[in-house]
Parts: sequence; structure tokens; C-alpha cells
Amino acid sequence: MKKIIILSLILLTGSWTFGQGVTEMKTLPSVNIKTLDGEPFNTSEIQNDGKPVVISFWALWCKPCKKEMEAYNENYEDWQDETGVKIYAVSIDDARSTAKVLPFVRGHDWQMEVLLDPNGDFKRAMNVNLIPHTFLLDGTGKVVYQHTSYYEGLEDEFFELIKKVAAGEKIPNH
Amino acid sequence: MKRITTLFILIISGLFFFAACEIVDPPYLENPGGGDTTQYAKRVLIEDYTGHSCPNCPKAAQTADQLKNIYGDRVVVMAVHAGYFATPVPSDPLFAADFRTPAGNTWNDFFGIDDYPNGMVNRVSNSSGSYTIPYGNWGAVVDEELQKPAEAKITIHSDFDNGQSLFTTTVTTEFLSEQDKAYKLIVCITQDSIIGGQKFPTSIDENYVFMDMLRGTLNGIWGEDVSDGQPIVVGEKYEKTYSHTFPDDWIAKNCHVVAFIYDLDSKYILQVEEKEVIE
Amino acid sequence: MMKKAVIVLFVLMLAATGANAQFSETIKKSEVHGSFEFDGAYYLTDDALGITDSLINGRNFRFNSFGNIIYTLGRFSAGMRFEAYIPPIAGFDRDLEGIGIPYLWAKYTGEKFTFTVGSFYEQFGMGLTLRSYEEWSLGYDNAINGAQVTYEPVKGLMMKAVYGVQRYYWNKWKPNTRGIVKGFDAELDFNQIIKSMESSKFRLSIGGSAVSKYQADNDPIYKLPRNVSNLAGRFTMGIGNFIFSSEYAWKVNDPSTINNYIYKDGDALVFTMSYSTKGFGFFGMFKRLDNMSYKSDRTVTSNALDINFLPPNTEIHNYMLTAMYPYATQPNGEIGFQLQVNYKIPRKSKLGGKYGMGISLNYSQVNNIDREQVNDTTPIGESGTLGWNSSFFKFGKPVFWQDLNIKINKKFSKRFKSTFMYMYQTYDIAVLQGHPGAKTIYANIGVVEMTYKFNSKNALRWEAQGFWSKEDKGNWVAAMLEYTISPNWFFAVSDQFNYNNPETGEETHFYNASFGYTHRTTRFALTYGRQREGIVCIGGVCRAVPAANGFTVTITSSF
Repeated sequence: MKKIIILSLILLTGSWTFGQGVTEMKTLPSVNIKTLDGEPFNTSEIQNDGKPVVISFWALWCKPCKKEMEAYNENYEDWQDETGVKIYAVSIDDARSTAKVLPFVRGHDWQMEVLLDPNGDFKRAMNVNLIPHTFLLDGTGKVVYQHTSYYEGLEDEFFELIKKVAAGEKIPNH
Repeated sequence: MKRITTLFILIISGLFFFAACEIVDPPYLENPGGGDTTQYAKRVLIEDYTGHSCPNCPKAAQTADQLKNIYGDRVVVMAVHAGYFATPVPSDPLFAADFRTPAGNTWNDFFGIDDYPNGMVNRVSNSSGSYTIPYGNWGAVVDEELQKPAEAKITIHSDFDNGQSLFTTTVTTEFLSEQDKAYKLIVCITQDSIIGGQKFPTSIDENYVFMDMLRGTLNGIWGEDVSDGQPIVVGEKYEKTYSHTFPDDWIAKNCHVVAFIYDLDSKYILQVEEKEVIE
Repeated sequence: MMKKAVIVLFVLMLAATGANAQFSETIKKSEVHGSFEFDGAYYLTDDALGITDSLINGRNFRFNSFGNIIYTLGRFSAGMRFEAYIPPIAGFDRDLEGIGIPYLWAKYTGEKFTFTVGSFYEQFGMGLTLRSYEEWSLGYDNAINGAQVTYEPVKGLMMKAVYGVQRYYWNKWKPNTRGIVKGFDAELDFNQIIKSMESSKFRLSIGGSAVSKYQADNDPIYKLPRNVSNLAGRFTMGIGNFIFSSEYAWKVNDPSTINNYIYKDGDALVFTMSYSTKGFGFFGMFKRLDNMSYKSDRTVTSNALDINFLPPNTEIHNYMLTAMYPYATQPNGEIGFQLQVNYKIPRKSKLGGKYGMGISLNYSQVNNIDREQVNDTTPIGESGTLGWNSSFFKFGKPVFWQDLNIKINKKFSKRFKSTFMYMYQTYDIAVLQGHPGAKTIYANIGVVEMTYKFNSKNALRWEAQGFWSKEDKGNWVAAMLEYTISPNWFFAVSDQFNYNNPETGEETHFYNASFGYTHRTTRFALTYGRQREGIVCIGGVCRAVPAANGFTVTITSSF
């Protein structure tokens, strides 16, 4: 038992040091999930012709997530005109409510791409602990920024980052 | 087309390979075999942790009863009322009775019994140190335990003085195999046919009959030393005598003495014996 | 076993990095990501809640924590999760107490094949036959340890096979203990496989799965089936704005403690349909379960070792008082439906105002299934019999659950928006929480929520809620105030006040104060207050939470 703990500590510290250098995820994991109308979709297909991509994890049961999505949706047209950004809203609702996602999304007139991750496979591959959790990818598909939680007004600041990424600028690490 | 056929065959064979099943035909109950009674055999103690407010507990009691029917006196049952579900409800006369005992409460905490019904069989523990065995598994563990040879023999001789409600019992432990562990003896009193309220999944039985209810121990919660770890040879005997004045609600004619010896380290019960208080 | 696996993984990682000739090249290509979480609690005594020193028993400080690592090198990936519960937070299963690495895996992703060895999660269709998943906030994890293969010969056809044993807290698997699970699933998407259907308005996919479990029979009372299979078929069909989706599963005789050792077959049907256009969505669901508990150990009754997943057909509520009595799936039998309408009243209309107005209406109901005696002499559900007969579409008694709710979202100005909600609830607490004899709860619940944005960073949110019922604990009112400074800070205070308690007549406050700080993916939150006892459910799984008083801290991060 002790050995396991020591080994895992080594692994943990090892990966931390690794992690320091490569916090930016270079390629998205390849996970089979579904599109909003139930068709197979592989997450490695997420792309936007060299323009920024936003991936945001949400669920019907998560109020702040829906607020964040609503806020993005309200600004989506403007954001797209200015930066060409594409937003993927990944619902992690399980079988209890996966079929409710589509009427909800249409009912709220969301314009974003919506994906279904009913067993949390993509969520786990992206190391998402809490939702909302949002990733920003640059034109090469590299994750350059991520945040968790949503507070009123976060979208304004987030859009500034999207603009930077669209212009090819670097996002400061801290 | 050929490829589609191949895929089709692959899917069908996949379905068949993974869809193994057995349909059991009635009767669904095994034939009771009965125990070997020709020579002194190992006995096994089922401790049924229960409570009057626990809706699923009567099912566990029923399972214990079924096992008694199958194995006869080789199975000893002790219903321990403890924990949240045994807590008396003073406002409700049906559930105001307190069937808990100091020993039951201590064992409940020590052996980590959280979910009810739950129980132990000879206090056998598994590799991760857990003693609790769900009642659906009692039968399998009882069966396994009864395959083992008897390593000790317990004999009980009691006397009950009706006038003074004074109960005296002598418990003799004879080892049938060599031992080098420390063993302790616990002597308990259980009582049958106590009437009270019991919750069921969708109803309440106001006149439920509680059987084998633990009423108390005669020699403390963890019992008394039989041996202290010095080597024991075959045939070595230890004798202990206890007296106890029965309180009014212990109805002597419904009571039993349950005596068991256990390994001090692992808590494993090596042997158990049950006898009526009034012989 | 575990030790060896860790060493193997460690060596693999070393081999993949250190021992490689093109060391720097490999380092460049490989990626390591991970996350961790720490949930700690410090419990205090509280006379009003009946929490005494002896109940806490010296274990004031408790925590649950995990660290997760994923290593990727091209097509190869591997990972592990370290967990510690020493001891677990109040309300989590006591068997979780321990430290270790319960989750360890390696995966190869090819063009058409993927191979996974070690622990993995999987879901077939809606999960009626198989779903392994993990829910940290419930302490639930039924990961399968073994091997998994997926094969996608052409785009649109996916086949999966799994084989292994499930995680059961920290109990190591040994022969003749819990069962072995194997499963196969195939799904065919016609729009992807048939060229001419690619852009058709008619969408169709079908699927089927077969799962079986093996567990030895050592029971002296019953003749038990060692192999029990569970088969399901499903489809999803889209026609224009309509989508229909259904799954039917059938399970052979599976006597278990949960179904009281009856030998009846089990079956389950879930049917959903939706219609949606811009600004309007309709959703309908029908569900029936009959004897569908399917665990890899027939003697286990706790929230563990489920092979399948039985989705509830009720709405999930988030407000403090609307979530007070959540639904818990009854695997032995339930029949129910749900209807929901979402409508967005357009902007600039009379009702909609400048920003439009969202209305959502939801109704759900769950009844017991109909049950008849199998013959004149056998009581319903008697162990060692076929249990009961049930006519398929008949709604039985009692009503377990009923929920009618309406939600209105209205934005008054750029700064000010609000939500109004009304809910009527029927809750059979006797069955759903196992309190026989307790009266069914009928409750009226109202919620008002307002958010005011001072500027682009500062906002104040306020909730007022009321819950009125004559049963169980009686009436409640609650209020909450939350101030947020984007993107880093939140501060919140709340109180739930219980009055007119028909049982005790006592009045109790459940106050809470919390604050949190978030920086990117790192979040720290501290809460002080009282927690009321109740049930927390996520998906089909519920956890009983005892009343508590104290501090809780959560630290979470990912990289």
C-alpha cells in the first residue's frame, strides 16, 4: 500500500512538472459523442477553418451554465461577425434528459453548435470537474485558455480574449 | 454486399456470445438437506442487525428463519436491535419500546453496520476488513462455514430459580483442535415471541412477533478470556459459571442462552451453542 | 495486482518518454493533463439538529479527494485516478473510507478500432442494459475493470464489446464474489451509411445490445441462475422537426435481494418524442419499468454495482425548496410520463417586451405499476415465486410522484432580469424515502429570483422561496442573497426556515454563508452553516444526507 502511494506521488509530481510546461492542450482527444439530433460525432472533428473555437460544458440541471450559454447566445451574432468564433455547447445531461436538450435549445433559440455527451466521456477526457467549464481554442485547435464557473458579466471579458486569439495574439498565462 | 453479410454475421454472433442466460424452472427453492447430526458439528451464528423502524428488516429475519429450517440447530440466530432504525419513538406507542442493548450498540459501531438490514455470519471478515454481509449472502457464507470441522465444543448447563428470577449457567468449552490464539467467551440471552410494532415496505404490522432478540450479555460486551494465547492441546476444557437476576420483561420460558467463543484478534467466532433457559 | 499495474504503467510512461532515442521529440508530442478536487468538512455539534459529541465521535474532520491524470502520446493514452476518503464526508457510504488508485487505464485509438484495458466507463443506448459511470458528488462509481473494444468498420456503424468486473468501493474482486459482466452493442446510423440519405430530412438510427452477468450460486435456499442476460433494442427517428426515440429492454429471471428473490422476467420501455421550431419546443416521455434492477451482485442493495441505468422521467429542480423532495427511481416497478413545453414570446411583442419572455411548462407523474397475484394462493412479490403479473399500460396505485410547474423568465432591462416559478408537488415519502406510514406530501411551492447587474463585473442575485405543506416537516420559507464580482469572487448568504412542523412543532433555521474565489480553472469555496437532512439525487441515484452543522471547503483545479 505504502509503495502504491509513493509511486503515485512520484507520478503526480512528475506529471505536475510535465504539466507546467504543457498546460496548453495541443490536440483535442478523440471521443465518440452525439450531435443534437443523435448522430455520431467524433470530437476530433471540432474545428473552425483557422478561426477560434469555444467549447463549453453545460447541462439542463445547471443554472449558471444555462446563464452562461444564454449570455453567449445573446452575443453570438456580434461575436461571429467580429471574430468568426464558433461555439460548441456540450451538454452532459444523462439519459434522463438527453432527449430534452433539443427542444430546450430550439425553444430558447440558441444558435450555437450543441453536442450531447450523455455518459461524460468527453467531459472526462477534457478533465472537467465542475460545470460550467469553458475552453478557448486558437485557429490551430490548441487550447489556449479555460475557465470554470460563471458570474454575471463574464462574457464581456471572455470576448476580449476571443478577440485576442482571433488576432493571433498570445493570452498571458496569469 | 459480401461485407454487409460479414458485418451482419459479426453482429449476430456478438449478440449470441454476450447473451448467455439460464432460465430456472420451478420449484425455485432448493430441497432442504438437513445437517449431519451423527457427530458433534460446527455451528454458525447469524447476527441479524435490525430495528422496528426498518422496513426491509423482516425480510432478513425471514432469511435467517429459512436457514434455520434448512440446517436445524447448526444455525443459531441472534437479532440485534441497534442503530438508527431501532431508536425508540416516544411519541408513538407502537415504536416507543427500546429493544437496544449496550452490547448491541457497541458491536454496531465497532463492526460498522450502517445500512439496515445487515448482518454478520460468525463475524467473518473479508479482505478489505469488512464484517457486514448482506442477508442475501448469509446462506452462502453459512454453507461455507458449515463445511469446516468443529474446532471446539461448547456445553451449557443452566438452572432457573422461578421465585427469585435467578438464572445460573455453566458454560464449558472443550477444544477439539490445537490452538495458539487468544479466545474469549461471550454469553448472551435472547428472547422469542416479543410482540411490537414493525415497519414493512408499505405498511406497519402492529403485532409483529420478534424472535431471537438479543436482551443482554452476562459477562460484558466483549466477554471474558478463555485462553490468553498460550498453546491449547486437544481436549483442554474451560469452565465458567455466571448468575443473573432476570428483569421482569425477560420472560424466562421464551429465553435462550447463546454462548460463543471468538478469536480476540480477528473477532472470528470459532464455535457457538444455544440452549433454552428453562431446560 | 494493483501494485503491479501501477508499476507497469510507470514503466510504460518511462519507456514512452525516457528510454526513447528521440527523447525531446517524444516529450514534445506527449501531453499530460489532469485535475484534482478536495472536499473537506469540519463538523460542529448542534443541539437543535440533535448532533451531539458522541454522534460525531471525534471524527470532526472529514474529506473526499481525488487527483486525475491523463497522459497522451499520439494514438496512445493512459490515465489514473487517485482517491482518498479519510474518512468520507457525512452521508457518503462508509465503505468508501480508504486511499488508493481505483481507476487505472490504457487506451489505443486506431482508425477503426479502439482498445482499452483497465478501468473504463461505457453506456449502451439509454443505458437500460449497461451504463458504467462516475458521479463524484454522490460518491458513485461503477467503473468496469477489464477490457473494452470498439470497432467502426464504416462511418455510421459502431460496435462495442466490454468484459470485466465492476468497482465495488475498495473491495478487491475474488472468484465467487461479485459477478462478471460482458456486453455487446451495435448501432447503425442510416444517414451516414447510405449515401442518398445523407442530407435527407428523415433521420434514422437503430441499435441493439446484449449484456450478461455471471455470478456463482452458493445459496442453500434458492436455485439461482448463474448467467442472467439483459437484451435491448432501440431507435431514434427524426422527421422534420419531430424526433422520436425509444428503447425497450428485456431481462430474464434475476432473483435478487432488491426484488425479494422473485423469478419473473423484467422489462423496461422508454419512449421520448420532441417537436421543436425556433422559439418553441415540446417534449414528451413515457416510461415503464417492471423488475429491472440489474446488479452484478444479487445480494447488494446499496447504490453500487448497478450494471444498467434506469432514467427517471421527472424534472430535475435546482432551487433550495423545489429540490427538497427529489424523485428516486423504483427499479421494482413504476410507470410514468412527462410533458414539457418551452416557448419564447418574441421580442418586441406585447407580452415579450424589449427582450422577449421565456415560458416553460412541465408536468410529470409516476405511478406504481399494476400488480396482480400470479395465482390465488401466492401473495404478490413472495420470494421464490414468479412475483406478480402486470398489465403493461395500466397505471397502478399509489401515485408516487406528481409535479406541475411553470417557469417564467423575464428580462426587464439590460441590468435587471427575473425568474418566477410555481410548482405543485405530490410526493409519496413512504415509498420514495422508505418511511412506511408517513403521509404523502402535497405541496405548493413558489420562487422569485431577481438579478441586478450594477456594471459589467458586479451583480446581485436574490431569491425568495416558499413551500407550503401540511405533511412531513410542514412549511418552509427561504431567502438567498448572492453578490458576484466577475470573474473571481462570489459571496452568498441564505436561510431556510422551517415552521408549522406538524410532528414536532419546532421552528428551525438552516442558515448558510459562503464565499469563493475562482481563477481560471482553479476554484476555492468555503461555506459555514447548517445543512438540512434530505436526499440528494443525480440521475437515477440518490444519497441520503444527514443534518449537519459546520464548515465545508472545496478546492478544485485542472491543468
